[in-house]
Amino acid sequence: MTKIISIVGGMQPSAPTIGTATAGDTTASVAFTASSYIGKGTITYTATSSPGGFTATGSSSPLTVTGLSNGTAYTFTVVGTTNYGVSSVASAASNSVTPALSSFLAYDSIATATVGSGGTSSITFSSIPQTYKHLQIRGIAKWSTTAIDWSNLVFRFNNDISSSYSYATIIGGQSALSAGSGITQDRGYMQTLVVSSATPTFDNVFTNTIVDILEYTSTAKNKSLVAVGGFSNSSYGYSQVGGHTMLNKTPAITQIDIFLDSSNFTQYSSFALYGIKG
Amino acid sequence: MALTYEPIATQTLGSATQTISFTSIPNTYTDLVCVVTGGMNTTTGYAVALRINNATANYTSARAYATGSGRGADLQNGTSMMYALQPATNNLDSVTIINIFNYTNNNIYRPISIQQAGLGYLNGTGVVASCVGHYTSGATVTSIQISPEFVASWIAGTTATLYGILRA
Repeated sequence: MTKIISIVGGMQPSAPTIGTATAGDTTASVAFTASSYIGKGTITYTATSSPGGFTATGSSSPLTVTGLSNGTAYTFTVVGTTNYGVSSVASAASNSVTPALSSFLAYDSIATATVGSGGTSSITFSSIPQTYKHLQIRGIAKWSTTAIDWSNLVFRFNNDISSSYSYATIIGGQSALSAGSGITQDRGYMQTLVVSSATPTFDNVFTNTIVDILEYTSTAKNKSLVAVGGFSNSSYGYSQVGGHTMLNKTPAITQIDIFLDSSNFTQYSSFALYGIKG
Repeated sequence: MALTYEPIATQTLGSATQTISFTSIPNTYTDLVCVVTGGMNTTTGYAVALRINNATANYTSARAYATGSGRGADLQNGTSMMYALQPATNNLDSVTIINIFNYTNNNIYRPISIQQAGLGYLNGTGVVASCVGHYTSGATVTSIQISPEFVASWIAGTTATLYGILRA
């Protein structure tokens, strides 16, 4: 009987099967599948980093290894050890991960559009996923005319050209600060910021903007858009805030069109759509 | 896999410091965002000033602002730094949000916006400012420097965080 107990106690667990490692802030979570083991003991698992040899121990997956250096790439192996002190062979190495400061997991990039050498008249984000709480657009834009002039950056929801919008704007230009407000009747678009032209003197100057659209999936609230941004060159510039509210509150926003009220966007104009969870 | 909106570095000042610097900025993102919360140890109205790659010329901006004593707008051309209106002075706190767009695109000048709000240099007043413009260079941004426009310092406890934003 003693011999049998000794043999059972000496059984070696099989190597754990490594899963996916996920990085955090100076940490990594290491997933794995437990060892096969016919003995009567219990198994404790240890994940070990390479480089550095940082470890974490526990009875099940996942294990969180701490004390790592942000910016350094690590892989991990896992070993199972019985309470009799018998260890498995180490698992294969995990995928490589690089810990970093805690990140905004709630902010996703949905789509990007960058204008090529031929220019374009409009940019459309369609089939917008309805799984976020808010949307944000970050972009730079320039108008294709070479005259010293400017156009206006315009947004439209759901390709609806019949909607009305209420609006208010603050414009700081040159030495004047002006404001405006009102309702655009059945125009179907929201005119926000002034956009610089492609006059050769200011060829590389682009308007920048950040646009926020909150609760875009609500069918019970009026959807509003707030655009902040502008541009400046050696002769003129505008710093602006523009807010618009769609008076038809029922539709969720599934499409956003971006265009200029005069002519085309130039090359390198670009817009990125982000979804914000909440 | 890099995340879409990711902190690159953060600083909390342990003592008065004239310039907050972020160096060796990786070129793997599309936009940069820097958020600064804190104050300056001056009792006069010094603006927050931004420099790119330690460059001391070729900034252009348009500003819209409101303070406890008025409102207005102006154009700043060819300045030695890009600066908004006074944020926090007299050891009072404010928030400054700096956006630098497409910071590695060498075909365009560097678009920048700075939004600010906080307590002005006159106790009991507020300040809000929006500043947009560019640094007249297509050079990739590898460092940024944030300081008072004149000789003064950020107070201890001021925090600055630099974020990188990716695109799909």
